[in-house]
Amino acid sequence: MSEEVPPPESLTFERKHKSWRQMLEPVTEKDFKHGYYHFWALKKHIEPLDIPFAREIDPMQRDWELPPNWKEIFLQNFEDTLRKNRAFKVFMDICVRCGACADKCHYYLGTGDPKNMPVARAEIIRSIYRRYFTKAGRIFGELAGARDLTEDVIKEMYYYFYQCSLCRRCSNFCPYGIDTADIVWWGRRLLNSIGVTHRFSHISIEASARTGNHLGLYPLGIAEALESVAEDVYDVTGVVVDVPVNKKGAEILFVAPSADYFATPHWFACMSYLMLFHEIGLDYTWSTYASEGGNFGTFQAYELAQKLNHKVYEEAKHLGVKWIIGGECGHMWRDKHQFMDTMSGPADFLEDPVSPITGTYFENAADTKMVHICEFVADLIRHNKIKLDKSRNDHWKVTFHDSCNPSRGVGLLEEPRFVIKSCCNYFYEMPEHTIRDKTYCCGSGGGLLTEEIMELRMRGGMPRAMAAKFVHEKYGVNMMANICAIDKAAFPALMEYWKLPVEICGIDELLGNALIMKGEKERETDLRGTPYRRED
Amino acid sequence: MINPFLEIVVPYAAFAIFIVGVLYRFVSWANSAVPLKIPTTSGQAGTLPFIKRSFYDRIDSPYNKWEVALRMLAEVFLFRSLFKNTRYYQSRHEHRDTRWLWGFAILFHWSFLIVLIRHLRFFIEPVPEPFIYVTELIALKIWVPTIYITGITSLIGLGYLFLRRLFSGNERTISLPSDYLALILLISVVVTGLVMRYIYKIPLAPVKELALSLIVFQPVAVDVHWLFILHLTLVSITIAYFPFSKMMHAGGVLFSPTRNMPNDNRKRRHVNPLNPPYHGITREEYNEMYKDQLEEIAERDYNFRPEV
Amino acid sequence: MYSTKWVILLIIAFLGICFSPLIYNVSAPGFELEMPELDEPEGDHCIEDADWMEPNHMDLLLEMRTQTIRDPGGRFYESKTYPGEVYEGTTYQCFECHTSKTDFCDTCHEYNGVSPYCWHCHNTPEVLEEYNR
Repeated sequence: MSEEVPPPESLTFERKHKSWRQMLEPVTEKDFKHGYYHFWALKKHIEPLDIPFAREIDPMQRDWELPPNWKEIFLQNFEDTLRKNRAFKVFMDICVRCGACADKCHYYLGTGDPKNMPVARAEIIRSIYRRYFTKAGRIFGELAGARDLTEDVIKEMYYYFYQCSLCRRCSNFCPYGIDTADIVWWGRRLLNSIGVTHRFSHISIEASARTGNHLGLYPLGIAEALESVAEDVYDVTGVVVDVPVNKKGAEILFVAPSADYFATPHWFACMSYLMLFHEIGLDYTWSTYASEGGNFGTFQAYELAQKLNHKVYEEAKHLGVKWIIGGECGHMWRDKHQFMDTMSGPADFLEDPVSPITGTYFENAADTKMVHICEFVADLIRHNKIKLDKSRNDHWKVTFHDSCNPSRGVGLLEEPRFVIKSCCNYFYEMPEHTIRDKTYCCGSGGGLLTEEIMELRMRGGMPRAMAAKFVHEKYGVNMMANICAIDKAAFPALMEYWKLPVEICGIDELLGNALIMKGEKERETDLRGTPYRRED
Repeated sequence: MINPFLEIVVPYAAFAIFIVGVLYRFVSWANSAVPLKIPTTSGQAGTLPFIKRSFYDRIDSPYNKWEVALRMLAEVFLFRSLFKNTRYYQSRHEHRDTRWLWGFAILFHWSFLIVLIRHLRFFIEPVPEPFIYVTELIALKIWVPTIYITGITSLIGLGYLFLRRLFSGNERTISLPSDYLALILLISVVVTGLVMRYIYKIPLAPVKELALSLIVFQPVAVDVHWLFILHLTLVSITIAYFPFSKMMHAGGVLFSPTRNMPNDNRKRRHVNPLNPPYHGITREEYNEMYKDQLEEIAERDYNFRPEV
Repeated sequence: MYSTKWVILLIIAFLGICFSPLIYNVSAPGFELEMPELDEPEGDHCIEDADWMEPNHMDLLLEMRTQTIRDPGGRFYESKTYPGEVYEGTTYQCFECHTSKTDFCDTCHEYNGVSPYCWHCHNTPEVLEEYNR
């Protein structure tokens, strides 16, 4: 936890109500707040990604060293985007500013900054659209809500487009389905075209484009990391599990976010993958080329997203697998569900996704040939192919946090709950308006999982933290399960900040705890090393 | 001189602008490619057979085109997404369903639609008996002339939409002059209509004659009351402004990719007509880059068993 | 243009709705641009000025009704246009000159698509005539 974030008691959430004229005035470096703005991208990260005009500046400096013809480039790309993306064009045109989205954004709730209302975030770029691409804006200017494109406006875009976690909660409530995430995503792509971009995502994108995973691990590093996961499995269960890596001719390719074999609490979910696949005798393989399910390119630009998700299919082809299973991850599943097939498909060289254990045909993945681990596990449990001992999770009172992307981008709501209920005796839902399609973001998604904006993240996570607090106080919940790698990384800090004794796990960790393996020793601890309390 | 202009030229010009403008908007939206299938899934997706999907899941997370049609109908006619609206109470961190906006929005839109349909009696001749019967169904027969509830409720709806922009902090912040303009135009149209019906009554026969003559393209500059000319001019301004204003949301919602696409992404592939080719490291290049390490993995027979 | 099929459908639907009155008028039998001539009433002049009566006759009828029911001795109505002329506040007074509902009232009401509910209870000149016969 960084020192500079003020303690929760001192935070105020006062909403400021500016006039519409004030809203048209750009927020510039003079008003940037520490803990809210991102560091600037480094040359070494964005140059290999063909992002032009790489330069290293401090966003707090007055001159952002924009290229001389930045305005033409930006507007040219704007026009190009309007032509390429109907959603973007329609969303520019049809907003009626009804305000239904306003208090749906966790950043608005957490900061009270009026420009964090989804509608206002979109207005930042919509005002430019009106000025340069509509008659009314050209003629009536400010009265039509239009404003000139200036360097200050670019600064404002940089500041506010990187205060959005692309969670799509606003889109859920918008009567026209205006998806601020889409506007922001393509808006960031526009900023990229003039070399205005942040550091965090590009570190991972560059690493992933080069090595196949966001962490930049080399093949042997991945394999050995997985090996040590298997060692931990042995320590807890006494079972030796194999970790196939790059194995040609395996039936299934398994792709998980790289954090799963690197960070905690992801690690424990990864242990459970290995245990599960060992237990059911699945013929599968990990890959080092496609060693990343996550796709930070989906936070930045279409082309960058394609750069990363292409590898999954290429590797599947290379290894000659039949189909693909994907691990727990949030934006990864937005990418795999909604983007990958379009960007890098068709996957016609793969075979139908049929579970070799139960014979179930995953019809909903008929074309992409990629099945979510939760769907796969739910199917196994349904067919009684694995033995589970629920009581091994009795020390956890579990709640489930629907991660934004699997809920509003995939519609994966019941499978995780089915798995949790099959593995745990104590499961409690958070308040109705904070789960399922109305779920709150952890506050750190969409490229915001970076240290320098800690205050924003903690404020943005406030609604989720309050919902967790509610179930913690009411039911004594001490474990928040989720299926998102970013959640797992973000929540421990959030819970610590808001002083909630709630731990975070992937739901596969609960599965691993409950899974009865052949030849296992009597377990002394659960996967994360918490000793089981004994009656005697 | 002024009459032919306001009674014939202005309405025709406005109507032409309306038709051409709306078609232009439709075509311009359709001219943009749809790169990705991005439905907002607000319910359980179609999945394994034992995972039950409720009726609402089918609407909110449609799995085929029929369910998409249902979703669009619910969106267009019932404002389903707006119906889900909640309000966050910061002081006690609590959410409540809030349907004021939904209620008044639906009050206005439905009332206004019924008012528009009832206006058909000025545009068609002979007026069929069943048409009159149906449009009079919800009229309040406690007064002469009969009180048309919808005329009044559309004004109430508009009034709420206007006042919330003035008095609610969030809305005042995000409201642009054009938002007020659209509301003021509609309010003035409704008010002039109501005045003519209930307060300052005007002869109807010339009005209908003018309307008919316009609609069959045999325009006659009939001598009508000035109040009606005011009403007609306001309507003309509104419909001419329609395609270039936020009122175009009526057509735009049909083009919204987060609502009009099925959530069957993994089942049926969506093709992006402008999909760029892949630029990046291929598997062969990767093999070259990490040759030593990959060979070491091969030496271990692609299997990493922990040493215990 | 993308998704052409749907857009063309939408355009057809939109134009269909916009021009539906025209299509109806062109195809419906009995289209008349102007209102048919009203049956010329018998008397000299109406209770009030005829031009005033055209849009406002319902107000007059309503006022007469209210007077008749609520005011003691209010069965009589004095014309404002023709001071000194007093009329009985009853529809039978109207029937003295307007001898046909079909040719007078209905002509205008039907043209304008109005269906007043007066005649749900009240007699019409036609009923009266038949009764007298």
